[in-house]
Amino acid sequence: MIKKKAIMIGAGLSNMAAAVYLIQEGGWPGDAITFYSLDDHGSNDGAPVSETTDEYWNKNHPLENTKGYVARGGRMLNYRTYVDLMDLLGRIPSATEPNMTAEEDTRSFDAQHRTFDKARLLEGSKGILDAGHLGFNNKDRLLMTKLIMMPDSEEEKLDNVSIAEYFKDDPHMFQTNFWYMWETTFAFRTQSSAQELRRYMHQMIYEFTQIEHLVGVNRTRYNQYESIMLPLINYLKNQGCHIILNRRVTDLDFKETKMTDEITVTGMTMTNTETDEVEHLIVDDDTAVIFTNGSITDSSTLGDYHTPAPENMDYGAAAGLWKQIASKFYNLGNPDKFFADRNASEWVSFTLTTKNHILLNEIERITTQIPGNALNSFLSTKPITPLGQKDVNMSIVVHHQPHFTTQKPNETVIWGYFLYPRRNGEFVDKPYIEMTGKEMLQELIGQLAKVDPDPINIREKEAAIMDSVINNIPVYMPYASALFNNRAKTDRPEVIPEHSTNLAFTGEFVEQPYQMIFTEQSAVRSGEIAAYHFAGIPMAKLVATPRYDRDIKTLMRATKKMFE
Amino acid sequence: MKKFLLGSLIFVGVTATGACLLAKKMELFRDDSVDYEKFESR
Repeated sequence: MIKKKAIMIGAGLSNMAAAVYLIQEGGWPGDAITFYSLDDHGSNDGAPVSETTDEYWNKNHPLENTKGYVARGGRMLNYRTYVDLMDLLGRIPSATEPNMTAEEDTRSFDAQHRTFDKARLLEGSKGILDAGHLGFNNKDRLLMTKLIMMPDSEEEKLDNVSIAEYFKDDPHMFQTNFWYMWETTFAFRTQSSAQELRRYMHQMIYEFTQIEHLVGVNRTRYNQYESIMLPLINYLKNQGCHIILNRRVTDLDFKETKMTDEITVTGMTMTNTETDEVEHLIVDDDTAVIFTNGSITDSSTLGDYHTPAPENMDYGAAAGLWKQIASKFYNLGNPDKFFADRNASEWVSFTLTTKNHILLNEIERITTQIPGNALNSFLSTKPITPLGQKDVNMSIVVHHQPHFTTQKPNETVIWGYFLYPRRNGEFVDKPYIEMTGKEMLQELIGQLAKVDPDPINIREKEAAIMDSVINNIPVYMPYASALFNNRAKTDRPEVIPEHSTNLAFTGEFVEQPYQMIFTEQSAVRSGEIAAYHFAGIPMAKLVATPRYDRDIKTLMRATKKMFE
Repeated sequence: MKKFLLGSLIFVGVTATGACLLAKKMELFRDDSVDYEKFESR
């Protein structure tokens, strides 16, 4: 149904993308669009720590040390398949590079700093592994081939099938270099959805053929906030959009219909989180409501160098609203599948800031690669999984420096994460989730020391490294991989649900054709679909999706790769 | 010679048929736009 105005619940990438398309393709004036949100970055955050302390999820957990930087996550791009994201970035100016679009900005940076991972997997006493050898046996190949051959129309066969279940007769899969790389590149867990794994195998099939070097990974010049969100915010504000922050939307009113077969939003209730005042809005007939119904960084918490990140048991702001409205209709999905099973989705990350390059240089020496080119994962040398298998202990990303525009030349920012935060550290005997930033750094040094090939081990410089720390921020994210949770196709609402007259869903917890989630790409495309729908633009004009899973050459390369 | 040619033809025919059936099963030539038509009608 065509509308003239929009209320955006959530000011993350999806809804900002929707706004850009409403303005540029729909011809809407910017002031017809109003955002209500807790913050202006969603999961694409990145800032000095001192600027985050008053944010909604952080203000109840004050930090002693607010120096340094924090980015809860980091985004790898893939120009080849992220066509909607690149289209969006091509429509807005860069926030940091004059006379460039945000697309030109990332392309020019990436062209000068191509990714070629030389140390994707490392293991104690072996050092850098030959990750190009995927390690499949014939059973692994058969099951992977079944996933690749399964067409889109049959993916419901994987409803409620977890990856652990799909490979239950093939535990060998979880001992392959492929799995170690796949789980840590994309943050899949064994409890995650096999249906989503299938989508990844289809959309990422080209990158599967070069997975060990991450050759297809493209990166932004700076962190995701400064390189992606800030350009959007600047553009939309210049267009006259209203971005109202510190608002937690708690309920939507709907038109009552006898058969509950019309979904029409008539009102909205929200709390001003600065004043605790409850506000109510009427939604008129000309207004669309575009709702990002879940966030992987909702309920996240920060720690610091001497403080672990506490656990916040909040269900989640976006998810809480989703649960509220899903209870009123039968086709708006099942949020509990994603937000009531933290064991399946939680992990912890850390952002380390140092005052010099000692640690950076040591990592460069041990991994043999310059900053910006890698994701490095450290394997355990003993069994650590419930199946009695080895697994990855931790992974790090050493960004091209500087990662923040305000970062001083002598400073380093490194990011890392622990995919299974309840496991004990190898060098600090406690679960990762209970570790302070200092202890996480000690874990990292331990992992590097294990794989250090040189006669002068990194341990000799441990005191200097510890002395160089400005801060290390542990981040606990209970829903970091919630979007991968085991699901059925009907557990996520469609972008435009059936019977909806003015409500659309965007983001990483919506059902849209083909797209894999946990990407900037799927976020943008969901916003694009919502925008086109309410602006009356034919769906045929959506950015064309490349289908490498239908390209014979790519399929043959993938087949060959399975035997390497 | 004739047997060889006949055998080759049969081999090529079976391979091509198999490839076509596989391509059909994998929906290699399916038009994606049909997946978005439902959004237009809402």
